[in-house]
Amino acid sequence: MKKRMESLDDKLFRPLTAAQQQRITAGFTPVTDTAITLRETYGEAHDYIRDGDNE
Amino acid sequence: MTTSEPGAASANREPVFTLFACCIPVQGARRSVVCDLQRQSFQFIPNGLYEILSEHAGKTVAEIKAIYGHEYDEEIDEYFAFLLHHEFGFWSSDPERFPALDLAWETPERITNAILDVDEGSRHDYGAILRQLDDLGCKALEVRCFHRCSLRELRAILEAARHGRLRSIDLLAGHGPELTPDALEGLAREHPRISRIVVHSAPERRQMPPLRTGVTIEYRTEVIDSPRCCGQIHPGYFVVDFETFAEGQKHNTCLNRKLSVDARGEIKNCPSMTRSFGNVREVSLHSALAQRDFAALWSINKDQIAICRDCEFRYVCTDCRAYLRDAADLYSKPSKCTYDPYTAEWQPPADVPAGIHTKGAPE
Repeated sequence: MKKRMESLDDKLFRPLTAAQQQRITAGFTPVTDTAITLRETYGEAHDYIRDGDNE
Repeated sequence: MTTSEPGAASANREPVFTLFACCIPVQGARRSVVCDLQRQSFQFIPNGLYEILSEHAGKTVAEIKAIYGHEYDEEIDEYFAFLLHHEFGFWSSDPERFPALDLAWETPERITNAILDVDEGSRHDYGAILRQLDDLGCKALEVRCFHRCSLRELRAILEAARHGRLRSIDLLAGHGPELTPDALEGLAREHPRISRIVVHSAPERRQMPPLRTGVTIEYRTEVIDSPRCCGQIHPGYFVVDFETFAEGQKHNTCLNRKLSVDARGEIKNCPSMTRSFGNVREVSLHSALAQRDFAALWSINKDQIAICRDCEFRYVCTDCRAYLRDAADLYSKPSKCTYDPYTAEWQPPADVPAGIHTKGAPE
């Protein structure tokens, strides 16, 4: 089944801007584990980057 | 020898485009996205490219171009250049060596996240509530104080959470003279489980630079005096990560494994919902959780929800089951979502959401 292949240049496929992703209300999220995950992956001072066995 | 090692026969095979396992396309009605779960981002793609990546996965570019009668050769080349540019995949003569991720979602905790609402009339026994949440394995807690808070009050809540297994506490508190940036920084240092502090009803909006530990402190002018402020659906709330994506396949991304205690002590799935499973002063959280219907909403996933099932954001959106377009239909779209997946357009948000009002504005 053929489908029309749209160009990626169409405005429909532009990435969202920072402004479009800015939260619209008081800014607290539903509670998920995500905050933890994000923090663990970008934080520079967390224990997981240390190798306790070899210190 | 009847079989050869994988790859042995691949030397003569034409390479095919293979998505990285963490880059997963999701089709919407008007457009699709590729979710990069490792980089925690997504890119929009045309539905034609989604079709190539799904129905024609494992085919060479020449085969794909031929399938479309060479009518779209230029677009197809553009598509693969786009995928390579964004590092969504690679060329491989051995695609079978790269299986898809297992999206089965499991967790040992009976409750993973909780909301505790507090107002000036609350008479919570924080120690008892936190102990019970700990027993249930709760990892993330959001405490929402709708009233003007003193540091002493916040300390009382946080002290009760000091020795449990909680990994993160999000704190929302009404502005009071004691809640200065220095005081809140001190609080965050005293209680390393705090991941975020939002002070509402503040005289001016202010975002403090994140602390070294990643904790953010934010002052907002909006008055948040009830749970009605919750339930917003907006790109700012999308969560693009493996856990949410996997959980969203079969579970509700807001309510699954969630337990809430509202300001009056009523145990609910969500404080915005009317159904109570008992008051925490009389019923233990374990008993509430054991009631037959407590987990009934946990498995309502986005593939079952009208309109959402056609939305490309359905596995990164943190749903809302409390505020629905049709209150009588548990499978209707969240009422605070203004996105139309059939046109791929967001409508401007309706003025100020219920539950939030700007200082001085009429309720």
